Amino acid sequence: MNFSEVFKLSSLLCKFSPDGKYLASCVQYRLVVRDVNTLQVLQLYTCLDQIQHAEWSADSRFILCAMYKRGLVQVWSLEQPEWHCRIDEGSAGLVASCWSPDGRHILNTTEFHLRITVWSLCTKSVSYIKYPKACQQGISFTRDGRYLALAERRDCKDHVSIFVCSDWQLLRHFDTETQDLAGIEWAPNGCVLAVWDTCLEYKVLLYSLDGRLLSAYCAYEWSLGVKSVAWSPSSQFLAVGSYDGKVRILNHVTWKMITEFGHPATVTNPKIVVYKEAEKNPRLALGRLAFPPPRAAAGAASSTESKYEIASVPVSLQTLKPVADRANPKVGIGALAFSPDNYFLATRNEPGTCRIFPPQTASRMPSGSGTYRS
Amino acid sequence: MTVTDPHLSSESKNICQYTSETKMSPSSLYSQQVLCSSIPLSKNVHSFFSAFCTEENIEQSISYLDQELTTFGFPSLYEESKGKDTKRELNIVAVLNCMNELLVLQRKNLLAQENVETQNLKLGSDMDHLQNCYAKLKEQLETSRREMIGLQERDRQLQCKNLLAQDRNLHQLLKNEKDEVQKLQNIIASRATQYNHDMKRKEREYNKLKERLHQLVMNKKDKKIAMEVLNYVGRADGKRGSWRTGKTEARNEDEMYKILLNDYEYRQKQILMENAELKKVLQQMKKEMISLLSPQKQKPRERADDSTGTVISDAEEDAGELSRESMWDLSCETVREQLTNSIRKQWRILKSHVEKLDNQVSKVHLEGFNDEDVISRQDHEQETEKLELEIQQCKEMIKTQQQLLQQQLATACDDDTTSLLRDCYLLEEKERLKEEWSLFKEQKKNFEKERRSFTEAAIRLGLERKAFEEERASWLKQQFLNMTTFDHQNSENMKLFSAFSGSSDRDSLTVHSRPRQKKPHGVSNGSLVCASKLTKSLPASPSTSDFCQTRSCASEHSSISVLNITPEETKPNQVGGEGASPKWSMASGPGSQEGCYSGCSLTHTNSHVEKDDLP
Repeated sequence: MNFSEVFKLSSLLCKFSPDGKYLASCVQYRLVVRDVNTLQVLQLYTCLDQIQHAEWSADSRFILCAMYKRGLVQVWSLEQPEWHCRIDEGSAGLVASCWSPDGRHILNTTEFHLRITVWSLCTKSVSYIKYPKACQQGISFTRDGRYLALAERRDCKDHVSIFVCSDWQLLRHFDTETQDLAGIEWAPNGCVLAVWDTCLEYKVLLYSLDGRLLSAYCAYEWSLGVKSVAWSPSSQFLAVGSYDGKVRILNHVTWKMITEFGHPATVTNPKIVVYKEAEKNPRLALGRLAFPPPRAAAGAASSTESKYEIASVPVSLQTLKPVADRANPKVGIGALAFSPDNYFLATRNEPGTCRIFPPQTASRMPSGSGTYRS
Repeated sequence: MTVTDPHLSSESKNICQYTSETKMSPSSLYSQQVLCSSIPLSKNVHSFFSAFCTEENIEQSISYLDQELTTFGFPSLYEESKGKDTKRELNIVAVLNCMNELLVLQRKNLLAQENVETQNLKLGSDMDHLQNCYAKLKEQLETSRREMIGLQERDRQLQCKNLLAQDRNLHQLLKNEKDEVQKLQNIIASRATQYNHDMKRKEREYNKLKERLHQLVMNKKDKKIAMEVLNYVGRADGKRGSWRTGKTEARNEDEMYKILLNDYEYRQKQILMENAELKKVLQQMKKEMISLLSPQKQKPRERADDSTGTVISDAEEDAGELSRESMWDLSCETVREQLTNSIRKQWRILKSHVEKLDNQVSKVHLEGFNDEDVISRQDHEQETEKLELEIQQCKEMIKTQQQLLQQQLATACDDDTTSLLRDCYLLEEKERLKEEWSLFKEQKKNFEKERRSFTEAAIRLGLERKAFEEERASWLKQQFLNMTTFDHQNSENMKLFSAFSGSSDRDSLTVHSRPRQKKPHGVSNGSLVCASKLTKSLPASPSTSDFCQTRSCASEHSSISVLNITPEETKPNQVGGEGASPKWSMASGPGSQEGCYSGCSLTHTNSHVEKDDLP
């Protein structure tokens, strides 16, 4: 593999533009835009403070840089470098900032999740959305960019509001039967909204676009519940990863579990290929495999060189017994991802293994290949 | 001399108790007698002692004693006899010695006997002791066995009790655990509700704080909270923003429902397609099953006619059903049921059929054969035999071929032989080639010769022609001169000339036609033309006639040669013949001579060459 020269980066803020032509990277308070093919610097913008979050607009024409400490958001245009836009939240503070799918509105979440301000770049209008929920994944846009689902909490109850992105009108508002909503996610077809509860209670609710409850799913009680959720690209399956180390797949017709994949500590099936990551320079690395979590801060990057060797089956994987008196134990399925062709499901089991399952969803599918770090 | 003593016998009996001797041999008798001597002497003994030897039989007893003692190895009692006939005197010394010896022996024997007796006693007592011990031990063993049995019994009972107790314990434990779990769950539930309540309370407080904060934030009207933009950007889709009205709300709703409906329709389509495919598959399966089962009815092997009857009826039924199904082809409840039922029926029939076949097979294996089976088996066997024969034949063929190949290869392995063989095969060809080469060379030589001769002839002809031309010129001059001198001969000369020329022509013609007529050949025209042309230019003269003759000879030669060739040639290669004639006809002028010649030679060579090609 060929590598280019190393460029400076801070806070892991390095994003390709949605059209794939540009690469934006942040160094302290500077935003550098490069051409993807030549890696030449096309634009250089200077922000007022250290950038905590940078995001491309959907049409690749604008970049927003959020500075949470100062409560500032600066928007830069790629076509007109002299164009500038600055949104100052002032005393309201800033906790999160993101684009709307049309690339012309910016949603700022103020401190303490007091409200979400929708700033428009086209008009002078400003919209406020009250009572947004402070949870892991409280905002979800449909893939076609028409609707926004927002988790809210009013009167100690969870609600979900669906807005039309074109004019920010409230379409539907309904309450959910969750104790403490942890996340919401649209299905890729934009017709079903998956809502899951806090990890203290295993509950996955499925709502239709018009707010009707389609189905509720609960695998077990009392133990820690849902950790991660992923839709398949065809919207046919919903994969639910939980703290008990299992992934359960629900089908879109009956919303019942059709199969579940375990993550046993020993791999004995000879059909499974196991890749073991061997570090060349053993250093204390906090590296994570694959999936950066969507809106959380990225972990420290691993700076070791490593390669993968094929380990011979049977392999016993290292398991860490989590400390029982701490919250958010490092067990369970931390991340899930479907392959774009709907054929494979990749899961990350917390003690550092990644497994790939072929979802021929007839029962009892042996898991495919797996990788783990020793 | 036998000695009997009733007292001795009684004593001997007593003694026998302590000894194991039961035989009453003479030696034993004597031993008893000896033993008796150990017993305190009594009168009986004295009498016994005196019984053996009396005053009458001293000599006899001495001799007897001597005999006995000598047999026992003692020295003789008699003195050494000086003569054979003299009476032997008793050797008292010997007698005394013998007596002493006997006494010593007696003492020894007595000691031994005592020892033996004591040993005997000891052994007896030991035996008794051992027997007693054995008896005791036996008793002990019995008692211990009984004890053991008793203990085992007790053990078993205890174990049973234990197990029961354990079981009860475990049950109890399980119960306890369950109760505990329930309790804990209740506790958890109660704690959860408590926590929820507390959480809610805290959340309400938090909300209040937030509200307060929000109010403060909003009230402050922080001028800083603003957006500063250089200029507003157009919308992504280029349209203008629309006002929020009721219409837009309705429109949004409509759009939402449209999206949902589209999604449902799409899914329904997918499901319908899947259903249709599955139905097709099921129907295919049904058809195949029917086809599988129905041909069976034609074979005589089919035993149960009921099943065939049902199959036929089912087939008919199913055919009807199929038609019905295809007509409807909707996901009607009835159609679906019919399909599934018919498939189930067919499947059952198939299963029963397969089971029957299995039974048949097993019966065949077990019992032996049936008539029908024998036939089939025979056929089968015959076929297999045929196939085996075929296979064997083929194998043999392959073997023979392989052998031949190997032979060839083996023989070909020797370099000399291979080269020889190769040479053998090619020898014929080589010889032929050699012959042909020689022929070719000869012909080449001939051609060369002819060519040379022709060229020489041509040169000669040329020279002669020159000479002739000169002569002609000189003759013409003379004629002219003659003509000018003699006018009255002009016309005649002219006539002569013309006549001559004409006649020369004619003459030439006649001259030539004769030899021509004499020798008929096909190629006369060409030669005629040549000759006539020549004669036109050259008047007839002896030299010319000679020339003509030579020419004709030459032409004859060539024509002959052509003649020789043509009959051979005509059939296989007419092109050659044709080739020859145009060459002749094309000849004209002096160059034509050579052309003719060359044409001739060419044709000659061509024909020769072609001749070579023929074989």
